[in-house]
Amino acid sequence: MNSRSSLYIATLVVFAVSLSFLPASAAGKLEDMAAHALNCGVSSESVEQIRGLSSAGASEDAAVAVLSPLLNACVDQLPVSPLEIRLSEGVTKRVPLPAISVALEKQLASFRLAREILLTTTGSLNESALEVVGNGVGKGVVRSDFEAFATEFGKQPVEVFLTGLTMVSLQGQIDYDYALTQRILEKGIQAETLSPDWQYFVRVVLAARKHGIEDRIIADAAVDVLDKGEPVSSVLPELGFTDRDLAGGISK
Amino acid sequence: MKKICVLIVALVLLSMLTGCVTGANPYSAMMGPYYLKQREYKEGLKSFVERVKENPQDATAAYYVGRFYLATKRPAEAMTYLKQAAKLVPDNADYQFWIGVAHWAKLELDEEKASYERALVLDPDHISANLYLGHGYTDEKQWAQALVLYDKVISLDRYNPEALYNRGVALGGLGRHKEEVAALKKFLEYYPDGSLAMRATSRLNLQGDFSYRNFILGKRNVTLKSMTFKPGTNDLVLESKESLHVIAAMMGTNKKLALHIVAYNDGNAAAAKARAQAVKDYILAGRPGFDPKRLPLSWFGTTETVERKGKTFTLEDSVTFITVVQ
Repeated sequence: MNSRSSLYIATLVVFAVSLSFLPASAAGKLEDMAAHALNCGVSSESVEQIRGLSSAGASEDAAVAVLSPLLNACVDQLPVSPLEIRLSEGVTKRVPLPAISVALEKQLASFRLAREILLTTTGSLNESALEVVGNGVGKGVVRSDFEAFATEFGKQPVEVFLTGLTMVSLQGQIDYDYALTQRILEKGIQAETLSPDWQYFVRVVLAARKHGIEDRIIADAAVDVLDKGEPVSSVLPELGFTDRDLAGGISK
Repeated sequence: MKKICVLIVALVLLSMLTGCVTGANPYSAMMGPYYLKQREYKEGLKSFVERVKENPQDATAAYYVGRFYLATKRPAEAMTYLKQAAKLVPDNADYQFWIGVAHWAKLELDEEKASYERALVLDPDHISANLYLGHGYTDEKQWAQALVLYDKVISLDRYNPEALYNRGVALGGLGRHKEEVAALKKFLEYYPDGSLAMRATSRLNLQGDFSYRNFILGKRNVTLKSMTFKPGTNDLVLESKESLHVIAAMMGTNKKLALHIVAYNDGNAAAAKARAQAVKDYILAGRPGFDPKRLPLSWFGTTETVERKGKTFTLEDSVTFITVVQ
């Protein structure tokens, strides 16, 4: 049995176990589920927040529906903290519990999809990569972009892989054509100049688009800058924006 | 060098005697600028990171670590130290300014602007903060605000090249094109070489002013003042002669460089020929080593047509240079 098949089976087993925690009937289950959640590693703050909702008058069903995606994420060894942050945001903004529950389930589904994408392309999982892909697919980035990236660059060092993956995610979220992102990444990786700062290249794209600069021209500038081994901020002056002297003089 | 070493030792001893102090440390205050000036950023980092470890209260050392990181294009690391310095000495405008530069390098443009504004609260005459805040407005096409700041910079630093150039850009953005042309010419008068000069010339040409032109001479892009003749003669004016000195110097350095001299004079081919010859004669004058064949002539009794960014301009009387392909 090869390692990829083992991973599939392990994933299925984890998934099956996680299903056993889903509430067959919500009533009376909250405390039991809360104990499992704490035991698994869901933060006590989140569990207390949900318990608080229940004591403040929310139905136990609603509270269970909110806790369930956190527990399932934990059991599936998917990132839990993004869901906890979302929960906290929702509660603070007084979003109705059913809406919070739907949002958390959606996020959980995104992480599951992310896991599938990463396993089927690279054969391995990394929590940071899971978060990046999960957040990306949750915000509309098509899975084929991630699949293409992970297939082509899956063997790169972790730092480079994560930088590129973040670029695919953030640039995908603003509909920056993957073919252009791919061209930039190929140059950066070939020239060994793709530093972590490049993950925020999306900010250059946004600034340049405000000036009506075409995406292709932005990519050309990025490729030039990567070829020269300059930092990502150098793309701005390359596109006609003002420059800053990072070394500067010694006085004002 | 020996004197510097003695001075360093004396300062180190002084700092040891006075104990660890918050804020300015004599050693840091002296050696930080030294490393920056010598562009020995890595050496500076090695020395100053240790100093910050030994004395986390040394704001000056933290500031210079930030500067060295920034100069080596590592803005994330720079930010940590610059913020540490600013926390120790919150009223230092330079610290706030360089935090702004680090934000720019991290593409955090809103935070960049806020940092310059903080620097200007502390020191309204901080030249660089005024300048870079102006740049931020330029990039957002907020021309009026940018112009105010560039004018302020020029009032504090009359020959500031970036303010002089970008003042022209801001005026152009405001549609004040006559003033834009005047501002760009003023910039080119002080700074006729380099990348900003090329950009200024391009902008000038787009406004139909060809008193300066960019030429590709050999493998170099060069900005030159255009060839102008005294009225009714083929005698070059002084500024044009200066441009020809540049060309002659380039030909002196690059023995293979050969240039077509191409003259236009609408309706008068003879005048065009005479002017092309006058330019050639001036370049060759006093340079017996130059082979005249390196300067072939062409002349036309028509206008010269120039295209710039989709616009077409016709020049009635002009001379241009085209590198001979070997």
